[in-house]
Parts: sequence; C-alpha cells; structure tokens
Amino acid sequence: MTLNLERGPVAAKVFYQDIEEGTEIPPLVNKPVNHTQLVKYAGASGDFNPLHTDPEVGVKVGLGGPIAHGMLIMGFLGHLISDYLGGPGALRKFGVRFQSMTRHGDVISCTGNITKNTSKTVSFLLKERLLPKTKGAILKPREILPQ
Amino acid sequence: MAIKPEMIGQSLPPTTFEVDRGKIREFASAIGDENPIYQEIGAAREAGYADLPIPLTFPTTFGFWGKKAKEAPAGDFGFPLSRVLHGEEEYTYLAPVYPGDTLTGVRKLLQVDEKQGKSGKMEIATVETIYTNQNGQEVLRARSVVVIR
Repeated sequence: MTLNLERGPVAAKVFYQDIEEGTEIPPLVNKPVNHTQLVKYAGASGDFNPLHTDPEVGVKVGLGGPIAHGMLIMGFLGHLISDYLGGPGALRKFGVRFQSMTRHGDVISCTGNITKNTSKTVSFLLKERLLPKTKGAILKPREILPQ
Repeated sequence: MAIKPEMIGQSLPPTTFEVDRGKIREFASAIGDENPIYQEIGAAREAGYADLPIPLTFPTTFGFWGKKAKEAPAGDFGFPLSRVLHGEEEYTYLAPVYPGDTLTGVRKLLQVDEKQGKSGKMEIATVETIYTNQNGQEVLRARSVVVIR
C-alpha cells in the first residue's frame, strides 16, 4: 500500500549549492488518516494511548472521537524533508510545535520552503495543512553533498 | 501543581533500547515512507549508509520501549497522562544510529512553567533526553514540551 500519492519512493538528491532561499520543497500528500493507520503507528511506535486507537475513549474524554498521534504527523514531515535531502542522514536538527488535532479522514499535505542558506547551515520551514507548524529544520551543508 | 517542584532538574534512571532492523522497517511503513533505504540493506548502502538508517522521528520509539499501554515517557515524572498533551518535539542528531546499536537514554525534567489557559491553569514541562550509544558516544538529544491541562 502506498501512502504517497504524488511521488515515487525513490529519494531525490539535492546539492548544497542548488539550495536557494525561498525554494519550495516538493509537496507530499498523504492518504487520509484512518483507524488502521493509527493502530499500525501505535504498534510501530509503542504509543498505545487509547485516545488514538479506541474510538470510544476519544468521545469519553470530550475530544469528540479519536485523534492521531502528533508524532505521526511529525513523521510525515520527516518523510518530506528526508526525501528532499536524499535520506535522513543530512539533518542536524528537526523540531515541531503541535497546534491542532488530526482526525480520521483528514488529509495531511506537507510542504516547505528554504528560509536560510548560510555557509554553515540550511534552514527550512516545513508546513502542513492541518498541523503541526514546525519550528524549522537545520542541517550541516557538508552532509548534504552526496557526490 | 501536578508536577512536584522537587522534580525539576531531576534525572530519571537510565533506560536502554536496542535498535533492530525489523523495528525500523515497521516504523517507516507505519508513517507511509516507502524509501527502500529503510527496508533493504543494499539500497541503504547504495545511498551511503552503513546499514538501514533510522527515520527522523524513529527516536520516539526509544521512550515507549517496554512500556505498557497506559504508560508513556511523559508519565515517568508523575505527570497525569490523561491530562497531558504533546506540545513540541525537537531532535538534535549528533551521530548516526544503526541496527545493532544499544542506546542508553537519560531523561531530565528541565523546567516547568505555569500558564493561564482558557480552561484554567496549565503547566508546561520541558523534558530533555540524551541518548548515548554502546561506545559512550552521544548520538541524539530529544527535547519534548508537554502541556498538562
């Protein structure tokens, strides 16, 4: 099953000298979040909080139903940035702030822009449609030269 | 306060996590990342990795390892889990992590701030975990902010 609707699984390669400020990172559109994916993510991550996997619990605590793991959404953003960089190894720092909740049926599309390219680091601001807003990602330029 | 003030600045006893290929494959699949570098060693090597690399958010598994369904890393300092929301997460990657590594994590409660929210007082706790590998090398720092509503 593929969750990536727009791109193939093969990572792109990017070179430091090609990274220009303002450049947009090719978007990643995920399939709608559903119960099966949350159960699968619970197993893979070890986060079995029933708020994510038991539909009744979300209702009981006043959230109106189950919500996705915030870390799943951060995972989508990690997928976006590591595809752009040709793998996860170039990244130095990756942080997000969770701002709202994701529910069954929500489509999370991720994109981002290069905000800064100094001689030492490249910074990104990654975004998605529903949540979370990232604080940015920083990497060492020497590590994004897969030559 | 839900958090006992004397907990601030305290570290919890170290926990360990063994990185294995199966967990990496399962995790990449669960987030929908089908990059073959997380599945096949050949593809990983071709991309310049010594073995399967870990996905960027894979470190989230370290804290949950061996815990029961109603436990979570945020509960380790006695936070009431039913009132805990995940506010922020930040990873600083210091060295590669590969299958076969045994990581030791030390979790420390850095600070607690009180804030007035819409539905009363909230406490905002910042927790840092430093992971070291079997060679004593620091490989990762994780900083989590949780909101206790």
